[in-house]
Amino acid sequence: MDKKEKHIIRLLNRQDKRAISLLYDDFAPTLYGIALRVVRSETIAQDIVQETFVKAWMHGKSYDRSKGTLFTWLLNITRNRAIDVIRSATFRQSGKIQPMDSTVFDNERLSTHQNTDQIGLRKIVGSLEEKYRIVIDLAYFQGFTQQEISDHLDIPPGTVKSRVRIALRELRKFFEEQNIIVLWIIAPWLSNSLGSFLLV
Amino acid sequence: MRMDKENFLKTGLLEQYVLGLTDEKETEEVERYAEAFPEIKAEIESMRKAVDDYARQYAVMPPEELKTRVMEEIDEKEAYSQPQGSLRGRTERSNGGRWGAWLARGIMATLIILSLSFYQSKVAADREYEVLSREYRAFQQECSRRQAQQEKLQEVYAFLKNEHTTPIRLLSTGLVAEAEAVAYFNEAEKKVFINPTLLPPPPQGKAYQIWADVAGEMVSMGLIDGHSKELQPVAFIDGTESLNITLEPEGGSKEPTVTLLYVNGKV
Repeated sequence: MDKKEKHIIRLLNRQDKRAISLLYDDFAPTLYGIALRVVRSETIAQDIVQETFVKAWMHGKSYDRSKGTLFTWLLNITRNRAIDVIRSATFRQSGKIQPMDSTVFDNERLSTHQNTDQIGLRKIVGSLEEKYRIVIDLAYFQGFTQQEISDHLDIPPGTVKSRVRIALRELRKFFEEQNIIVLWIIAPWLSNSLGSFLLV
Repeated sequence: MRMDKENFLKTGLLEQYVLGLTDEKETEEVERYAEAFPEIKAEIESMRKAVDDYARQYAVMPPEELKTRVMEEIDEKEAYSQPQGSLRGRTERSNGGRWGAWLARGIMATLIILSLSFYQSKVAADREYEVLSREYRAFQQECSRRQAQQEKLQEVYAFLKNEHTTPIRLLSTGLVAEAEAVAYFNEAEKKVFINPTLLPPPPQGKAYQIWADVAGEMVSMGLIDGHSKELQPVAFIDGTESLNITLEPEGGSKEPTVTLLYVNGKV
């Protein structure tokens, strides 16, 4: 746990709204992007993000780091709210629901405000096969159970399990590689700076 | 249950757990393993990080005003919850704490003052109650005294009104010229009352005694309070021919002191 995280948790536990401001700056784009993927409406997604942070502020006292990271905690709030919304009768009636897995990734269509990470997204999308990505999306973003995924994709539960394993292995591999690349990039600069620092 | 770390890692439960796909029993099992083996805990953390990193890939900048909306709603909620004192920021809370402390002190002081004043009123009320009950007891005594007096007066009045009651003037024998008394004699009821108001007050250590003359023999009818201004009952003696009042030593005598016969009268 880094210093900033500790600071935020301390503020959060005290119900200090500065914690929400910091959390918002760090996580709002991700949460908004995920809400957007689930509900497919900018207005509703914004409401969900707003509710997420208000709820985080209200329940900040009971946040416990040992139960998960701040991000996981916030993501859970966003995701649960988003799932509630798409499963609600009014949302269904509004005809907004679309099975997420039936569409290709089209975040550009959803919003003109694109995050710089979008390049990373293309990379990961490219590196992760569709059948693995769908399993993660249904489970993680839409809160499906194994049985629901199995029914939805019409594959046996055993296959769901093995796809989950492979998907996670691939994800870890991808992000670990990315970290190594970052290290490769900054390492010479770091040693240079350190060297010159020592020389001075 | 025996815990086998290697086999457990192969089950794929960890991955399902991280994606929220485990049921309650499986979740418990994973958490038990995570607690027992730090490597498993680290593995979970690393998977979580990968999934979180993946989720971040979907980041989309929300409109700028969304943050303002969020902070405004929190401000509103905070303002609303402020009186409860619990949902506040640090500085405001310490302020609130100070106000709270002052408020508590204020309430405390008010309570102390109130209880003191209540205590004082209670003491005063107790005192007043004591005085009043003393007065009441005295009043009650006075009442019963007056009642008794009234009964006595009524009795006397009834006696005086009685047709068989005859007033008898006892006149001075000349020993003390102005001495006089009145007896109310009622043979039918066998009662005699004396009005001693015209007798001079008896000297110190002396008292008046009244006698009935029954066939030449003096029979004591009792002592008379020479200082009283009221009618006094004395004993009735059958066959009384005359009434005689003598001055005797205090406590009375067996035989009348004839030399000190003040007044007398025939029945």
